[in-house]
Amino acid sequence: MQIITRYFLNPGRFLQLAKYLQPICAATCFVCFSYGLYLAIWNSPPDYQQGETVRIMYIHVPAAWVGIMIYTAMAIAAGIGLVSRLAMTDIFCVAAAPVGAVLVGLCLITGSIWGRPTWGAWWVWDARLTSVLILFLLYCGYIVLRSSFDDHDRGSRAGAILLIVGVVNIPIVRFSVDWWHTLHQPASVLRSSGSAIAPEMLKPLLVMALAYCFYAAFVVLMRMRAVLLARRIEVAIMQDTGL
Amino acid sequence: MRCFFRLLCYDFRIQTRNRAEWSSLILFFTIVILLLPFTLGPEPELLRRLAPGLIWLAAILMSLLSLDRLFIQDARDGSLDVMMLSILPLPVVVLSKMLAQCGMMLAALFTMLIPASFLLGLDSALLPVLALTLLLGVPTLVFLGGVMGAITVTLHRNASLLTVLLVPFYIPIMIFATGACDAAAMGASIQSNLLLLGAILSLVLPSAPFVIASGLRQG
Repeated sequence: MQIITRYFLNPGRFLQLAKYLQPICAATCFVCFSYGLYLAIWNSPPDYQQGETVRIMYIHVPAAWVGIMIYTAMAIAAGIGLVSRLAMTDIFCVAAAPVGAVLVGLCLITGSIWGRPTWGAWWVWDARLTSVLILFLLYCGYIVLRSSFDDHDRGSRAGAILLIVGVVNIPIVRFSVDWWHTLHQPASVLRSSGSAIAPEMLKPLLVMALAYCFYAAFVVLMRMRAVLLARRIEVAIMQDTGL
Repeated sequence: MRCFFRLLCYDFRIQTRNRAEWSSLILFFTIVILLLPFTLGPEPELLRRLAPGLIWLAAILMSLLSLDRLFIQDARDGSLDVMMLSILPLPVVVLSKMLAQCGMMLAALFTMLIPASFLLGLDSALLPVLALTLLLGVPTLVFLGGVMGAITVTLHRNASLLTVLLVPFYIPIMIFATGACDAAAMGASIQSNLLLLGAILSLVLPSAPFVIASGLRQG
């Protein structure tokens, strides 16, 4: 296990691998987005209650899924980083945080636009909305905390502790709709008694989720390469000036 | 164990003799409470309904004010290094310090609770419920503040950063605490909210010292 992680978390090898993975992710993302948006806008039925507004779901739900997924991945990477002190885990967290924040922000904004016609309010203080807002604040807190450290070593460990402490919010986001009686509808895709959503709506949703995943992978890879190269430049400058 | 109790006594004595800190906390809490009727308008009915939430708001602001100095002062005068060199494990030292801080916060809050409840016209039946939520909630606030204070201890200007980091963790506590007060005001059962607050406290109390210690060690 350790050999595998060491092998793939070698910065040089990562840069080579990312060079091949990045265009693949970009292409898959483009294909999935075009097909998913076609399905979502032209080739799926309107909801019998909500009408055409239900199409916001295809933007809203995958953004939430991928936003939560990125936080979980960051927290796992932070845990590995605290134990193993590998620099790549920190680079992943730094690169992924803004992507996750933007996706959760998108989820909040589209949710608000969706809430206006269906609930009659832009925002309600319900458990799901509040917990997602907390997730957004956690992302912001991490970004601010991480950027206020000049020393990457200290910053990475402080950020890792914050990420790990904040992971308690993830099950709350997931189960808030079951634990409290919320205005937000309960989980309908992933649940033990099988999916409750119509198959012709499920298909565009899953294609869009795939598109979001590959989009996140593409941007995170790109940002990881940039962060890695920026650190190399920092080191080179420090060696040059003899600091 | 005896070492721990002596350390605890010592930490409490430091806190009780820190008059400047005491008076600034109490003054700050009072000023927030005094300002609220001016921003909301002085209607007694409105203030009575909002009173538990307003007192909680003042308590949260007060804890944010006191927590940014929690470890910075120790780091500056070198007592943090002494803490780390102590024969007791660092989490135990941290636990004693945090308990003393909780004691001071609660004492400051409870001295001002009754005057504040008069000022805002709080229903006297709600006072015990409010006191109970503060008793269960404020230690959680202090311990969470300790965690964030520990990871930002090397940044010397961390007050605003600390607020950003703490607010997401404070929101659930505020929700359950004011939920209990609202339930009591409407005559419903307050048990579930109090149990949730207690559950959060019993989760945070044993785990936070270890997190704080690991946060301090990286500095």
